[in-house]
Amino acid sequence: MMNNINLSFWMMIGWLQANMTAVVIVLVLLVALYGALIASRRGLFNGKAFVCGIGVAAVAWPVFAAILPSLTGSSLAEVSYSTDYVMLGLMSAGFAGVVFLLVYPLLVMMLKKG
Amino acid sequence: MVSKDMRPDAGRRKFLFGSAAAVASLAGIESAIAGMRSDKSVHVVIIGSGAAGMAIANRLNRALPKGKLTVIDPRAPSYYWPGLTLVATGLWPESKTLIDTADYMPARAEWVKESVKVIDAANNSVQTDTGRNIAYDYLVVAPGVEYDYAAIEGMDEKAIGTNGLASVYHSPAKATASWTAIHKFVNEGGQGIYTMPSTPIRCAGAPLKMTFLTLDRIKQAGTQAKAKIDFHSALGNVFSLPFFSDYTINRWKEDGVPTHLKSDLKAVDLGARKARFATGQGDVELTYDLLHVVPPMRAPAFVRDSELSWKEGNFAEGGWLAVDQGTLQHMDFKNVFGCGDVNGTPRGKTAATVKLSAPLVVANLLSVIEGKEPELIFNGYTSCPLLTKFGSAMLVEFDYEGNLTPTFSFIDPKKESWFAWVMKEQMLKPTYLKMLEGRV
Ligand SMILES: Cc1cc2nc3c(=O)[nH]c(=O)nc-3n(C[C@H](O)[C@H](O)[C@H](O)COP(=O)(O)OP(=O)(O)OC[C@H]3O[C@@H](n4cnc5c(N)ncnc54)[C@H](O)[C@@H]3O)c2cc1C
Repeated sequence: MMNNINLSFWMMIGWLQANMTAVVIVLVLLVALYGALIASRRGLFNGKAFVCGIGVAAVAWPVFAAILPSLTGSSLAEVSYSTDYVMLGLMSAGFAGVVFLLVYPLLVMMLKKG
Repeated sequence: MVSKDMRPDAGRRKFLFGSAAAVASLAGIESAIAGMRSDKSVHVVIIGSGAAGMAIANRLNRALPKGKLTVIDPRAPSYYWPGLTLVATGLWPESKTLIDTADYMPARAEWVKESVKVIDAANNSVQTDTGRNIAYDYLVVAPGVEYDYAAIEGMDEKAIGTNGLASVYHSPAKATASWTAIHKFVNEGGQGIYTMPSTPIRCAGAPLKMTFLTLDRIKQAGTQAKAKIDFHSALGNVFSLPFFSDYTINRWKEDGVPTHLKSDLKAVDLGARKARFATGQGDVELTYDLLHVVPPMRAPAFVRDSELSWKEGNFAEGGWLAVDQGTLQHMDFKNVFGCGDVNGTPRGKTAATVKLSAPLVVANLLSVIEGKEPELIFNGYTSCPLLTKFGSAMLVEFDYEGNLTPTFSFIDPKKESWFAWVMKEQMLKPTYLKMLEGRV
């Protein structure tokens, strides 16, 4: 168990390091967007923006699920049994989560404006 | 001299588990060795800075703060071998398999960029190709394997990539060259012959992966009608676990690939594109348009010719390092440990084996440095992500006894799956690099 936690942790760190360019772009965007949100003094929490953000992520989730296999040099046809389905679901949910984090500050600023 | 019958009482030792071993069985090797260190000022020499040597150097760098570390290896950059099957089938560029050794070498270690020529274990010293003698208190032997292409009459390593000759094993450059030959065959068609020798080989799944992926390339190119492959195994199977051997042979049968068992590549005529196989029915000569050669393998000469190699038993022929398969300590020289492909132990010549055995070697070495017996016992864990086509794989993990030992119980080793492919294509290299850092 401890071995698996250690292995999974370092595997993820290693994978993030291997995709450093994408990671840095997302981090820079997050800093810029949340920086802009804080600077706009509109408050970090907004229920309406949160719900809208979840909606955007909910749309992004199946889109990621559909394209992730081909992004990994495979295809949806190779997603073949329960573990594949669950892992594809979790991984695409992770990417949808990043989408949520990116659109949320935009939504807060846009909705307030509106 | 070492013989298998002279093994120290491994069974008794299993019952003498110390606290570290008890923790290891409960919580895993990483927890067991997390706090292990020694303040002794000893000199540890590590031969090889590949998967095993580097992983051990980085772990000792932390666990032996007052010790002196010397790593001997002339090769830089080092190779990410598991990526070679993807290079030789046109998926990865060669550059993805080159690792800058200096990025991983612990700053405190002295890196001797020379080749070991002689080990004088009786006098605790090694000699390099420049004639330099390096004395040690403890020695870790991790030089991998030697490819014995010369055992195949007429074979010329330099010709790989030309005239229908391929061999994924040789090096990243020759994996790229192999893809040139394979690509030509896939498009133009003809008779392909894929081989497997009778000696122990590193990553025994690689010859199968090459066959599966070439077949997939043929399907992608739509040249099934003109490109035909035969697989020749010098053994009575194509994989040591019967389920996976039968599964592979049946999958190939469906794709029109006949498997010839006990058919051993003995000679090639590279100009005439002819290969001679020794079979139960005598020698058979076959013509080919593509020949994928898996060379016989053995321990590097300086190990083979030293007093450290097995002199009797299954591993004597290849001159493999005579270590106890549980503790990975040398059978006779208790200040010597082996790690990685060089070990004369059953089955595991994979990076996955290194992942689990490198921390164990460090822990057992630290015990010996502290004047104790080695406590941890290796179960022979090894793994092979069997790529069955682009985008799908079976993640086969097993131990010395051939028991399936999946790291993540939710991955079914007997199923071809996308997630197993992701593990190989996306996660294996980051994990490998973390292993070099001594993190996993
Ligand atoms: C085509 C291919 C596919 C593979 N696929 C997989 C896979 O999918 N999964 C997996 O787990 N494993 C795989 N492996 C196996 C894995 O790469 C090896 O098991 C692993 O690299 C072994 O590590 P090692 O340290 O023993 O040897 P190496 O990594 O080869 O390191 C040995 C080092 O010793 C050095 N050395 C040699 N001789 C001397 C000398 N005389 N003096 C000093 N230094 C010396 C070499 O230069 C080298 O740097 C594959 C291997 C190949 C070739």
